[in-house]
Amino acid sequence: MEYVSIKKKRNYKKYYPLFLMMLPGVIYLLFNNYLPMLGIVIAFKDIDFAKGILLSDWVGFRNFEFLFRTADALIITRNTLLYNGSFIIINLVAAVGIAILLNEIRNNYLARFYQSVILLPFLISMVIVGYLVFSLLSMETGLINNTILPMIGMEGIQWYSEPKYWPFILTIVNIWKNTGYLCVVYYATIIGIDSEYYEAAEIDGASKWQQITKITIPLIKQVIIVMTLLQIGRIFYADFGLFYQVTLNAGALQSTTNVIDTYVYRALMNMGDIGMASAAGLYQSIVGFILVIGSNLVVRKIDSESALF
Amino acid sequence: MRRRKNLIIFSLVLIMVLSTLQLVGCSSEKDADTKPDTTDQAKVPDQTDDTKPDEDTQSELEPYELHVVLSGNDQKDKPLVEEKMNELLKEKLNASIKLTFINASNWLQQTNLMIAGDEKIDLLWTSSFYGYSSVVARGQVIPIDDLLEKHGQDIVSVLGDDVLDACKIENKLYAVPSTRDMAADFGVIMRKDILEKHGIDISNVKTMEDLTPVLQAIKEKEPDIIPTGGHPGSSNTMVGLIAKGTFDILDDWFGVIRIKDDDMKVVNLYETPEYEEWLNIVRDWYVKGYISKDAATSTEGAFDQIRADRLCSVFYSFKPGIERQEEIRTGKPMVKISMTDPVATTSTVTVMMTSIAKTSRDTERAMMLLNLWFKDPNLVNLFDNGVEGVHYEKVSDNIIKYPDNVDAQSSGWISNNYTIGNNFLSYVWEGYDPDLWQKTDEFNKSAIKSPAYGFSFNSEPVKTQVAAVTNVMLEYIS
Amino acid sequence: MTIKRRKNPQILLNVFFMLIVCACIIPFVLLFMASITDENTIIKYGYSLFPKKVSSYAYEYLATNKDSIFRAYGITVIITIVGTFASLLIMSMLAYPISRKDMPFRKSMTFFVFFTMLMNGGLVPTYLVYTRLFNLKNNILALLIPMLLVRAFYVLLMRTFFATTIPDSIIESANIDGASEWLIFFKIVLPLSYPVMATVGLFQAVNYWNDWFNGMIFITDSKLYSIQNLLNRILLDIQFLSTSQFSGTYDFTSNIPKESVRMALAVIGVVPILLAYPFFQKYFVKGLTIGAVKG
Repeated sequence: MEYVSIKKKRNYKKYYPLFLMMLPGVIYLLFNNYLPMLGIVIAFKDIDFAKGILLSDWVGFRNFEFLFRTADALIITRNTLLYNGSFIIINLVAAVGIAILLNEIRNNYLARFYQSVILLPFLISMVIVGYLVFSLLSMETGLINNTILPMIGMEGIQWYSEPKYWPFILTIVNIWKNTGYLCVVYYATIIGIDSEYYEAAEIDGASKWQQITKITIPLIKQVIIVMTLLQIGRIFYADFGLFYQVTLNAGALQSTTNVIDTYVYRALMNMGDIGMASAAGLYQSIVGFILVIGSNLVVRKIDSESALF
Repeated sequence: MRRRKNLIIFSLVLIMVLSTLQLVGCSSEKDADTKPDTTDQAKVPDQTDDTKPDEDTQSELEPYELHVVLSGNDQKDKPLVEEKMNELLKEKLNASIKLTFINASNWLQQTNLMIAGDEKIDLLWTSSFYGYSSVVARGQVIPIDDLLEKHGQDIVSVLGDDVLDACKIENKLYAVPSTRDMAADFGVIMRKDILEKHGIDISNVKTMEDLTPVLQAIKEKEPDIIPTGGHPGSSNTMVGLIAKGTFDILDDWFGVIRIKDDDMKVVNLYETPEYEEWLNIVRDWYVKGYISKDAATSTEGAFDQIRADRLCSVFYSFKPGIERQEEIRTGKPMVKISMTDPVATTSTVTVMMTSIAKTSRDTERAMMLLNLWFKDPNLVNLFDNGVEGVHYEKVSDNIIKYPDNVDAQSSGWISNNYTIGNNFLSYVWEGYDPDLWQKTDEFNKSAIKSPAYGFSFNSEPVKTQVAAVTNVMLEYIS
Repeated sequence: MTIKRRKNPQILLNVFFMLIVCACIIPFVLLFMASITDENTIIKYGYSLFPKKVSSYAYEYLATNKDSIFRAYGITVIITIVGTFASLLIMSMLAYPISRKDMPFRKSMTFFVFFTMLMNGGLVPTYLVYTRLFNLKNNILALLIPMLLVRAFYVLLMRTFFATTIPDSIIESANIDGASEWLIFFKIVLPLSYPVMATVGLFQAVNYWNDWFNGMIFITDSKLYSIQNLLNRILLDIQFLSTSQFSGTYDFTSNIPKESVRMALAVIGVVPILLAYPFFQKYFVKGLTIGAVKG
């Protein structure tokens, strides 16, 4: 690498068209993403519109206090990390597994059909998912309590007042909703693998399992790392729709379903304090940033080619 | 080495680009931020000297478009109503109007953004529900005492000092309430036909405890119908509503005082013996099956459930004409059972107010418009009821009904006769008591005033704590 | 997973996938059934895959608002089509240079893109940029522009694809033949990149179709609502009001449609994308296979 870059060092002119090509995207990111980043000052201000945003008083870290000065701080942090951590792992295993299995389907029409259907849940919004879950779990009108549980002779369960079931329910909903998306990404990568590798392996007498572990997984490794790093970067952001809409915001479930995003939303719902909202967003960004830089360092130690940057 | 150098160059370029942008951003923001202030300051002194009567100044007014931002859903026939309002305002104020409706879930966010973005808002709906004192503390609205003095005399004479004082924060007025029901009593509203069919007597029901045998009778006689419930449209739970008849919730339930207790001792509602007693009663009802098992999470409106013969009654807050209002919604005859006296607290007044936003470009004209909204029946009726012949037609002088081929669902203008202005000037819909507004006025005057009437809780100094307490409350009450 | 090595793994595999298919499809069927179930039947007997009484009430109710619904559809369709193509273009033009191993500042530029995924300025500054600097309040472009590069991740996905699947040798030989970088990009790189373009294109289309946030922030004029705005405004109001403390007599829920109507709204929000999806899917799969053949 070093050798290549030294060789081409003086020849920037050659790359002008490429720079030009990047220009729209770069300008866009500057305006859409980088310029608003200056707004993080809001997190440190007590906004008074009579003075204007920039001239409002500085309050140091006071806007952050509401995130930490409560007994719930530990619970919401724990819930957020545990949920997202398990979502990352479970989704990864499920999506890679299904993608590999999908690649084994010989009938092309069926493979195409499965692939289409798996992605369907990804297409609908969480609000609607919330309604679907309610139609299944409602105490009086739900499909499960009315039809399925009586069939196996069980009493109806009050789903929306029993926090203990929700870690499982939310995990299942999350898998249902998001695995298809990850699966299609991995499947697209697997299908792009040169079939010669497999032909050669078959000739050498490699079993299917060996082909998967020795060819498929190493070749999609980079995509897996990118996808996973990306999710690690968002480990401090909870899927608001999942934790708010799907639980129907039921207070009784909060001990196992309250996460940072829902906490912030509820806390500021009637107050609308933009300083505190910015503080919460900044806190999440910074933790995510540190986590990604950290995991990227680890990845770089192990395999520098796979690292993101 | 090389990589690092690249990175440094890149960061330098980035910093340069960003700082130029920052300068541009800042200066334009500053300009716009300070502009209205300076114009305000410039205007106020030289117009206080101005002693000419209103009519003369109005003829000299520059044309101006008034932006009015209100809570509600955008309406199909808004352009038509705006056009009719413009005809009226052109003549009276040489102004035109632009109405913007923002729906409830988006209200705080959108108004915060609009004011942060310095978008022109002249009249801004304001409510204790979204934190009246926070809006004031954040400087989003301006004090209007002087403007009211100068251009708002009709407002003062309609509302009276007593009501206006209730809206003051630290002796300054930032908003004026609309005229409407400014008090409430609480209880349960029931299907009259079911009670009559089974000869259930409700004349002696005065408390929640008295209601138990009634619910029991309904449960026995009509096994398919759930006797009672709360309304999912608010966290005014059954017990919460009854509590509001006994306690002044001081805007947000965090600390309440007893209305009939002049000590003004702030107590924790959830530790009071009354609250415990009510909870026990409701728990008992729940166990006995008088309340839906889905009560906590259902999103189906209680009145839709009554219409569907699923529910018999609902806990609710009352005002004159409430029975008729809910009869229209449910299609069933309704009767109310009041369990508290009518009470007036700061929030029953401050829940629907109008203020002048900090981003108004002509605060005087905004006040003139607001004043007109308290004086001119045509403006009030245009907003409350729409355009005559299109959205309503007259039955008699002050009674109106839908024209043929129009109903509540297909009408292009569905508004509320409580959002803004002097609603006592608006026509009464057919089927309501023709004296609805007199009765409402009497109701307001007869209500028991909370000793804390006039106090608005300012949460700004304790917002960290409020954020935490809100979460705890929503965990248990919602 | 190891069983399938033995005889007839295909049947087992297909059974497995059929179960997944059921899990994915049944909720949609339930959604549709709920929308055609008689309102009183939902309230009395709950949801069912086989409703006791069918009613077209919900759709008739929506038909009274057909003007606004059709307009919202039109806006959504235009925004989705224009937005998807514009963002594919802008993203691939950003991704291709940073995928070139010989590109100067490659790592820095990658980081420049990546960083936007980790840090954002928050809502208020973004709003100020779009309304104050670009004056896009109540402008249909406000539904389009903020979403163009909504996930910088897609750029990285493209970069990875370009870097791993487009052989350096092709680009080098084209370079030697004197082809300009633009020509190489449009005539060689893009045609070889159907799989990633189809994948990202689909996701972008879904993002545009399902976006309601920008509408909520930038649009207050109901004439410019997209179909998701129409839907979400109602659903969010219900959620909001169910936790709010509004005084009962000022009842904002009175305008909220009944459950079957909400389901019908959800159906009309989902159905077009379900209908369009198979057509899209055709190219999607073709794209994938082309990618596979070229290796």
